[in-house]
Amino acid sequence: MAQPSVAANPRRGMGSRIRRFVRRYGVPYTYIAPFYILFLVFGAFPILFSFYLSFHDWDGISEAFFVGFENYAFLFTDPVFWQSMYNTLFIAVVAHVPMLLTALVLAFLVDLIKNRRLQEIVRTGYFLPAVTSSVAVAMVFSTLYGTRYGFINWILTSIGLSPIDWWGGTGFWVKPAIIILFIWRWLGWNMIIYLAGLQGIDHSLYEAAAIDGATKSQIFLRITVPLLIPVILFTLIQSTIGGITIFDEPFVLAGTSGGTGKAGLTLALNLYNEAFGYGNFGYASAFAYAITALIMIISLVNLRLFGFGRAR
Amino acid sequence: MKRTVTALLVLLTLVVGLGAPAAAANPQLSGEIVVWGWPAADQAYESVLAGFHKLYPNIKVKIEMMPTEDQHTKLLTSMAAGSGAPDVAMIEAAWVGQFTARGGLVDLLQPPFDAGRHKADFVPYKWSQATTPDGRLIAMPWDIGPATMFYRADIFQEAGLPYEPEDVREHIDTWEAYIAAGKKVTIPNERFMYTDSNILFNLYFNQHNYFTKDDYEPAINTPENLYMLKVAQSARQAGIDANVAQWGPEWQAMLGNGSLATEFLGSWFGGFLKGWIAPEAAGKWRVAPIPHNMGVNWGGSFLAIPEQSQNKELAWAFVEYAMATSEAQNKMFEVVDYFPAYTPAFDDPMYAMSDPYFGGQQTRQLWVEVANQTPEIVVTPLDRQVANSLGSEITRIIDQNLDPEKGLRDAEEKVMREIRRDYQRFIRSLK
Repeated sequence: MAQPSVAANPRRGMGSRIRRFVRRYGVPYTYIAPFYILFLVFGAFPILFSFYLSFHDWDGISEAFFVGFENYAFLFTDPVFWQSMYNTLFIAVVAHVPMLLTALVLAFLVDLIKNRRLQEIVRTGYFLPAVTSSVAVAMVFSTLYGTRYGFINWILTSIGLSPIDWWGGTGFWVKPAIIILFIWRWLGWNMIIYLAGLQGIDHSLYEAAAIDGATKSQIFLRITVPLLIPVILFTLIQSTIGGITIFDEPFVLAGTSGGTGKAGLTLALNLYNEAFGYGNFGYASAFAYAITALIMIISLVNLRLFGFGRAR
Repeated sequence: MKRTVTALLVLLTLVVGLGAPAAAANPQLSGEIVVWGWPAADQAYESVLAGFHKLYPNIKVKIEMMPTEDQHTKLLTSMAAGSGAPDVAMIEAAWVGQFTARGGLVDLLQPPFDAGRHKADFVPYKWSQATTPDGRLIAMPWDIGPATMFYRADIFQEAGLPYEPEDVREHIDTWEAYIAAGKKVTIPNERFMYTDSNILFNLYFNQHNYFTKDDYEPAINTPENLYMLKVAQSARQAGIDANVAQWGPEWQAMLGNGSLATEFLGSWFGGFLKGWIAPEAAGKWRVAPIPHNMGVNWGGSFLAIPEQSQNKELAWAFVEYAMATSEAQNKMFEVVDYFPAYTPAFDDPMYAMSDPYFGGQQTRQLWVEVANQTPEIVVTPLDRQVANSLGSEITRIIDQNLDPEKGLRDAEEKVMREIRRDYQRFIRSLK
């Protein structure tokens, strides 16, 4: 009870300082608090806790016990990890290279549409798949990919080709099936981002080039692309993250096992199995950190390739 | 004289004790319990409440429903979090292995539950399914899925095959006979004998006997499995399977339009056929035993009591009444078609009923017969992992017509290599 006199003194002590701080910054901090509180609970805590878990062996129920780097060491010898790594990189690269190129060209073409109404319709059309629920998408695509009554096989057989056994055989067609769905879903998304970038480019540049006699493809390659580099880099990094954590598409199409020969088992799907299917939360956490490291490495390489982050 | 009287008294108490399984019913018990499940279990629970409240008027039962997958993950999460679990949880056959190696669910063999005294009343394989490697019983058996061959009698007849259930049973009793029948039924690109050869191979694996009993050695590369793999391969080579995914849209369409002549699934599939897959095919389907080895189970569920429950005694009162009385089991069977694992329930006349959807066949008689013939099941926490790994290998062997001996040997090696860490841990946990 000796304290009150200090606290009551407005010129000294923590209490008054806190009160002054609250008076000055209370309102703005309150406004941003919801985000930070939610982030602490649902973002920061899981991130830190899974780091802690990655050094433990935990089945979700029994006591967790410390195993040091064993989980990380096991990653290197786990054949399923490496197979899922190969699958993921294969799907990511084969899906993204054509998708980003097509998206860029499409954006350029859509940008040329002068009629605003028409442009909006085209834009919305391309973007729709990105906001469609993955369950609905899975239904539609499993009908397309049907072995007996599938639409694609119907086309193939009616032009005299042999039908594709999408999910069986050697498992060869599992990856293309996933890639086709992936491109269909995310092409419009990337196109919209490029389009936004394109609309930031001054059209007088195009006109000047056209007056100087440049062709459409010259304009595209020499003006559009260089000016779009920051946007392209953004989509590349986004794609790296999206590609390495690809989960929905293989999950709805091939199931948790990844299909024949595990051809569709991606890193994220494997991680999901380890944690929620097999109850290896510690190993799954190490897995998650390995994936994060991979994403960071590839993103850094991208940044370097485009000349960012280098000393000028 | 005195001796005789004592002996009689002892005998009398024994008889009374045996004759009244619900004798432990204590109407004084009061409180509220939370019971989880997935639809249509809510209807099942509701249907037994009246009988339950006759014995325990003061126990309130709060029913909470969610989708199957959610119920299990929510149960696992609440165990991990240390709170939030219900007093009674429902567990599906495919998930029960997940819970065997862990704590979290009470051992029902211990007092005050002493579930062991009901053991003889349940089909043995179902009981073994909920028994952990270290001998605990983590859940009470509810329903089973005695599997049979569902077949289209009209298609069989048209193909010149025996089509009455007794004749089919007698003549299509081996896989060789089944494949021969399949060749008659199949019209290329139009009509097929069954869905997919993988399913044929997996029929026996629905027991999940991936490991040997007692010492848990890998049991994938066995003569029985090799035989089944060869059957599946030769069926594929004969071109009698549609090679479409079970449960997919194509499969449903094919069952609906009569381009699949047989299907192997648990008894519950009868309800699916009637309800939404092919209601218009009433009178065309029949059931017959699975060729060669009829004792196969597919699906079914359990009720368990989480350690977290504060009302274990009340929870047990409910579980015991719902699972281990003919009255409750048959009520639920009537309402939602959950085929009881509790054998005294089979004495009810409704098991001799003929089903108009199946052309008046007494289907339940066959399912009871299958249930009684199904061998014990070995359950381990590794089962889901093995199933994922093995399934994709088997598809390769069948689809590419690889050498079955080498294929199965390699598959076992590959599976064991992939799960080796978890396997070693599991073996260690047994000691």
